[in-house]
Amino acid sequence: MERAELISRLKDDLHPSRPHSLKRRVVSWLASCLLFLLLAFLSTGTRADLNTILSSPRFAIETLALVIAGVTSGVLALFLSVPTARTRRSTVVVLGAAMVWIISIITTFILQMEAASIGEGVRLAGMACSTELLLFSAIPAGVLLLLMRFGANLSAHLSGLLILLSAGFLSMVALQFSCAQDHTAHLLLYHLFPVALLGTVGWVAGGRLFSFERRLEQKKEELFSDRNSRPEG
Amino acid sequence: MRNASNTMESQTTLPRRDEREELRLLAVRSKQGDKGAYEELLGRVYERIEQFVSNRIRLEELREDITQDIILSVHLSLPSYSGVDSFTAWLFTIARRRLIDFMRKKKRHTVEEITDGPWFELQPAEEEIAGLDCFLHELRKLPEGKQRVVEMIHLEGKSTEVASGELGITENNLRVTLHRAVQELKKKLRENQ
Repeated sequence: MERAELISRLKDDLHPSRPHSLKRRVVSWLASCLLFLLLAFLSTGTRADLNTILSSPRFAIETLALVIAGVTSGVLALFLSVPTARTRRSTVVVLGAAMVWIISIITTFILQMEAASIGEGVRLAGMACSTELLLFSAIPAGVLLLLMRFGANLSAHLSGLLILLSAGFLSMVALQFSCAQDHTAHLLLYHLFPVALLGTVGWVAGGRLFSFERRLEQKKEELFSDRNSRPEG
Repeated sequence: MRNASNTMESQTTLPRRDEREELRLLAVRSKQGDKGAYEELLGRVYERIEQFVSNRIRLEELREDITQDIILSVHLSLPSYSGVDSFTAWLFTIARRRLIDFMRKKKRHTVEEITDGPWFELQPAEEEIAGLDCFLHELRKLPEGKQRVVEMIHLEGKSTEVASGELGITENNLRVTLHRAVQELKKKLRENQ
């Protein structure tokens, strides 16, 4: 296509767009996280030992790490949808928080020498936690997807990965208050593994969903077919 | 007729600030649906992107395709432009990322016909993106004059002769400013690592 023609086509294709500032989208995301957690607590019920566990530093550290990892992954995904936004600090926060959670549960495992009860931790009953986690993840993932639509998602795979990781981490926070099984094996197998699975799905789906190539092809087709159908003169 | 009047309007009422500010204002007006402003914006952006691509891609037949690909990407991404940040930084981030995507695709076949620009060494794509983000952030902290010189030479790919002509300074003066700006940037980027 000739330069002048392309510009003319694009000019004709211009539609007014409302400004969706990053700040506004981040605030919406934070508010959604709060609502989601409230909704999750109300719908899942609380674990029997909640009063005891609330005073445990381990519980506080793990929950805080998961909240930070979940919320910041979402913020990072939103940052990625703005070409000029800086992402390094948020990346460090996400990785740091996830590491804190992993170190905390591994340390607990080593200190308490729970090896004898590993069998209990990996019992199939734990599948209920995974199912709950996957179902809950749909809500924050949907909200983030909606907010991402207002951005320029140039890192398609990474955006998909972060959306589902964020949703998974936030659902893990909800499980912290409803699941009384604290065994490391259970946490790794039925809480963390589904999140890792979600991340993988997000990576693959993000590549398709946010694919710039696909959008470009669609746009080109639209511009060309429009040109072909336009009467001469 | 309406388009023509829009063009006239955007040409006459635009405040004569520096070029970057003009581009930002044109982008803001384009986002509001001003087709004349958008036509002018695309015309000016096209030239810059064309120059940017030709400094990095040797094969002439590929240049036009990549340039148009980037222009379409800009068109698709325009609704996401905040209108507050530097439009030039936004534009060249998109251009570089799209070029990296192209290089990734092309690498599967051959890398021989692709050369990299003067500022970045050929690195793995993700590192380059991270480096670019950091570079653009530090660039925005430089004084106006130095910022403009680095942008013209390293982002827009203009020759020192053309850039000095546009800025109305001697070529020697431009080289000194560029050297100082690059030294400052290198120092800041090293501190960040």
